[in-house]
Amino acid sequence: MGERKLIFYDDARHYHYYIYDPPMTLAQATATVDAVAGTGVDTFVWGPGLGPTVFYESQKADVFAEHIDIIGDVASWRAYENSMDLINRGLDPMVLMLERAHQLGMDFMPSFRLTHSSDPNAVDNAHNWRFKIDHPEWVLKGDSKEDSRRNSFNWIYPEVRQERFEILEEAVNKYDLDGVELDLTFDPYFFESYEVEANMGILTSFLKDLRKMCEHASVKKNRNISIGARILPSLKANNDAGFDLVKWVELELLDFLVPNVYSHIPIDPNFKFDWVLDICAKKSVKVYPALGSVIGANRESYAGLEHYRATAAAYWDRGVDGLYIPWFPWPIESEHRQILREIGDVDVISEKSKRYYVAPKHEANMRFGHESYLPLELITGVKANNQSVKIYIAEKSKFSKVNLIIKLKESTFRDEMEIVVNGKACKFDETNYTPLGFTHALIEIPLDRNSLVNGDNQIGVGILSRPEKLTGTVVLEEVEISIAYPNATI
Amino acid sequence: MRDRKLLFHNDARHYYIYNYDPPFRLEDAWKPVDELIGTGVDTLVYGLGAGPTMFHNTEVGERWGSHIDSFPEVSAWRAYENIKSLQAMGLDPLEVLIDRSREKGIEFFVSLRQSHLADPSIKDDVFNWQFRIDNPHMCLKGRGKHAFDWTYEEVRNERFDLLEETVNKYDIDGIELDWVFWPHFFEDEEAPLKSDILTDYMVRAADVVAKASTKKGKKIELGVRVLPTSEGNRAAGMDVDAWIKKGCLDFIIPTIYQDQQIDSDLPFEWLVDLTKGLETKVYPSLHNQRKIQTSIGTNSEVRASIDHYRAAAACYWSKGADGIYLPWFTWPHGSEELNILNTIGDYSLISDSSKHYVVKKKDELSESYKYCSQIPAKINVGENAPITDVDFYIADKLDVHHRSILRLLIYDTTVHDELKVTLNGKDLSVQDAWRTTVGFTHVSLEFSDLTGGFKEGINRLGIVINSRPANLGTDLPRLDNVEVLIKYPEPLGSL
Repeated sequence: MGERKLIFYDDARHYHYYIYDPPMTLAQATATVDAVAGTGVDTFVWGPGLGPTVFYESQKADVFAEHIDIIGDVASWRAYENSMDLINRGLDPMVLMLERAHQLGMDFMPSFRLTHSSDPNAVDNAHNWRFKIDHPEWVLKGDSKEDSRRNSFNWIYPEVRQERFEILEEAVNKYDLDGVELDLTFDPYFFESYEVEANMGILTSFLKDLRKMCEHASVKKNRNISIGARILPSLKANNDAGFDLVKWVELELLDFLVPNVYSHIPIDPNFKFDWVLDICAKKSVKVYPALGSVIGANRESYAGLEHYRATAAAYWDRGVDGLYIPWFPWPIESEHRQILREIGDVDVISEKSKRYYVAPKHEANMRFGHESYLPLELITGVKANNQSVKIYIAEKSKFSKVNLIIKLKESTFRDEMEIVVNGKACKFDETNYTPLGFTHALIEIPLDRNSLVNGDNQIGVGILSRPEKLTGTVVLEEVEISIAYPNATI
Repeated sequence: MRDRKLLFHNDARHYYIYNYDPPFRLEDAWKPVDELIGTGVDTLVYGLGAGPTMFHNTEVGERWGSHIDSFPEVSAWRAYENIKSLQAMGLDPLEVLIDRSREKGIEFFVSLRQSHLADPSIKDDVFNWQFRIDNPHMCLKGRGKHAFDWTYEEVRNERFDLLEETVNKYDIDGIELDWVFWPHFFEDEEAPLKSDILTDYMVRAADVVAKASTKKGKKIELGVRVLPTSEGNRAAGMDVDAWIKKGCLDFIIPTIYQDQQIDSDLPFEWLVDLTKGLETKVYPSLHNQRKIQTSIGTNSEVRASIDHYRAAAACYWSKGADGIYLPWFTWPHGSEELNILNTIGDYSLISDSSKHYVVKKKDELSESYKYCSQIPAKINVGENAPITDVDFYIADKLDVHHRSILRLLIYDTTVHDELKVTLNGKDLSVQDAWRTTVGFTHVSLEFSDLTGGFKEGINRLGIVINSRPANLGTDLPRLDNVEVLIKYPEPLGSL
C-alpha cells in the first residue's frame, strides 16, 4: 500500500448490520465496502461491532447482544442474528470484510472503542456486555449524576485494561489487518476527573504494550500493522482525558492520528488541527484530520460537493497527510461518490468550484475542544476590522470568480454597515441584500479575486449605527466564500 | 357576492409588514391583495395587527409599538416604521388594503384575535399592550396563563369596542372573531360553566354587526374561528351550538393554531350537521405542512405539495364544506402555490387529478385542545392480538381508470414478522408489497394494484403482527405513517 490519502470509516451498524434482515447474503455482508469501491478511498476502517461487543467470531469479546435472551428492538436483533448466522455458516464477518476490501484494492483496519458508558445494572441492555455487568465495582462514579463519565470503566484497574488488550491482541494476530485504530473520542472517559493527572502514564503504557505486540505480529505475518488513534481536537481536551499525546508522538507509539469529535461535526475548512501537525512534524506519525459532514448549527443538511472540495483543499494546503471521513451520507449516491473520487487528490479539485464555509459553534463539540467563530454578536458601533472571523482559502489560481456570502440575523438595510475583507472595505448596495423571512438577511458581494490570500482571510462585519428606535443586536450567523471557475460547455 | 369558495388569511405580519424595510411604498402595502390576483381566492382575511394592538388608525384600541420607546427586533421595528410611513402620507394602512381589494375584485374580511398570552409584567414586550399591563389582576393563572379572564366585563368591552369601531368605520365585507389563538377565556375548570358569557358576547357582536350592515346598506358577514372538535370548544367555554342556534354566525372556521399539518380528516362534520338548512357557512381550514421522519436537521415539517392539497381539499368538498380557508400558506408564492390557489376552490378542477392522502400525526398541543390523531399507533404482537385500526377519508369516486398505492411506514419490524394488513376488511398481501428499509429503525411497505380496495368515504386500515422471532421483543412495533396515492392517466405533451 502506498501513502494513505483517503480513509473511510463505517461503523458496521447504522448502515449495515442494523439494516439488513437476516440472513444476509454475501453481497450484503460486504455492502459497505462495495459502496466505496472504485472511488479514491484507499483505506477502509470498520467499527467491528458496538465497541464493548463485536460482530465477528471472537474468543475474547462477547458477540453483540449474546448476553440477553430477548432483544428489545429490531435493529439490534438484526445485528445479532446477522453476526451469528454468518459465524454459524463458517463465515467470519471480519474475514469477509477484510478480504473484500483487499480484493477491491483497499487497506483494511478495524476501529476499537476502549470505553463505553453502559450502566452495569442495565443487564437487558443490548449495548451492555458480560464483563461490565460482572464488574460494577470498576466503573467511574463521576462528579455528579449528570456527569457523562459515569459508568465507563476506570482504567486504573489492570483487569479493565487487560480486557481491551486481549481483544486487540486477538484481532491483530488472527486477521490479516493493515492496522488497528483506537477510537479514543467515543466516551473519552478513562479516569475520575480528579485522578487524570496522576494516571497520565496508564494509556502511555497501554500503547507501549500494543506497539510491542503489533511489531511482533508484523514480523510474524511479514506485513506492516499500523496503529492509529482518533484524538480530541485540542491538546487541552486530550490532556484532560488522560492522553499524553506529546509523549505518544515523541515515542512514536502511533502511526497516525485522527483529530475528531464523536458527533456529526460540521464541515469546516478552519478545523483547528494545526497543533497536531506541529507536534508530528519531525516524527513519522501521520495526521489524518476528520472531515465533517454537515452544514448549519442544527445540522440542517449534509454538505455538498463544493463544500467538501473547499474543505479538502484547505486541509491539503495546511499540510495534512490524508483525509479521514468518519461520517458520510448514506446511501452513497452519485454526488457523494464524486466527492470520494475527487477529494483525495488535491490536483483533481484545485481548479473546481468550491464553497468555503465558517462552521458554527456546537455545544457538544465545544466540550471536547472543537472551536468555531460563529455565531458572532456584532456590537453596534464596533468597526468591521475589530469584529472579524477567519476563513481559510486554498486557491492558487487567479482565474476564479469569487463571491462573499454573509447571513445576518436581525439586520435591516437601514443599518449603517461595513464589510471588510482582509482590511479592505467591500462595496455593496441594496441589490446585494436579500431578506430571508422576517428575521434574517443574506448579503452576497462579488469580490476581486486579488482581495483574498491563500491561507487565512479576515472577514469583518461592523454595524456602525442602527435606526433610532431599533436596539437589538445583529448576529453574524454564516460566512461563506464561493469560488467558481470557467467551465467548458457544449 | 357569489358563493365564497376560497378564503385566504394573511396575518399582516410574517409575510407582509415584517419583511419590508421602511419606508413602505404603496406597492409594498398592496402586496397581500396583489399576491392573490388571478388566483381562485375570492376573499382575503386580514389579521388586525398582532391581536392586542393594531396596525391601522384605531381610536379605541392601541396602535402597535405605542407603549414602548424602542424595538429589540428588526421585524417589529419594520412594522412600526412602515405603519408610520403610510400614516405620514395621510393613509390608513387598513383603508389602503380595503381599497386595493375592492379595485381587484377580492372581498375583504378582517380577523380580530380575542385572546393573547402576553405577560402583563413584561412591559417592554412589543406584543403587550397598556390595557394588559394595567390589569394583571384580570389575567388567568392556570393553563391559559396571562390570557384575560372573560368573566370581567372590562375585558369583554375592550375587544368589543374594537369590533364596533371596525365594522362601523371601515368598508369591510366581513369580520372574523378568532377564538382559536390561545383559546383560554376562563380557568379550565370554570370554562364549561361560563359558556353563557361568551354566548352573550356573540349575541351582542351579531347585533352590532347587523346594525352596521343596516347603516351601510350592505351585509357585513360575522364569523368565528373555533377549535376543530365540539368537545374542544365546550372545554374552552365556547358553546358553538348555541352561537349557531341564536343566529349569530354567517360563517364558522374550524381550525387550530400552531399545528400546521394538512389534515384530510379534519373532523368538521359536526359543524356541517349543525348548520344544515341554515345560512351559516362552514369554511374548514386547510393547513400547509406535513410531518416527516428526518435523520438530519431538526425540522421535521415540510410543506405540503399540490397533491396533498388536492387530496385534503377534495375531502373537504366531499364532506360538505361550503368553502376552504387557508390560514397558513407557503410564501412567497411560486408556480406550484399559484396552481394550488387556482384549483382547490373548485372540486371539479381537482376530482380527477392525482392526490396524496396522509393521515395526520400526533401533535401534543392539538391533543390538549381535544383535536387528536391516530398516528403513531401501536401495533400489537401476538397470535390473537387485537388489530390496530386507522380510519381515513378518500374523496375520489374511483369510477374511472386510476392507479392507487397504499404506503405504510412501520417502526421496528422485520421481514420475519408475520404481519397482517387489511384494507376495508380484506387482507392485503404483505409478501407482495414493495419493502424498503428506511434507516435502521423503519420499514416502508408499498401496496399497489389495489383496484377495488379503496372506496369513496371512510376507509379502514387494520394492522397486527401475529408472530415474530422468539428472541425479539414485542413492545416497540408502531405504525408511523399511512399514505394513499391516487394517480390518473395524464397525456404527455410530446416525446
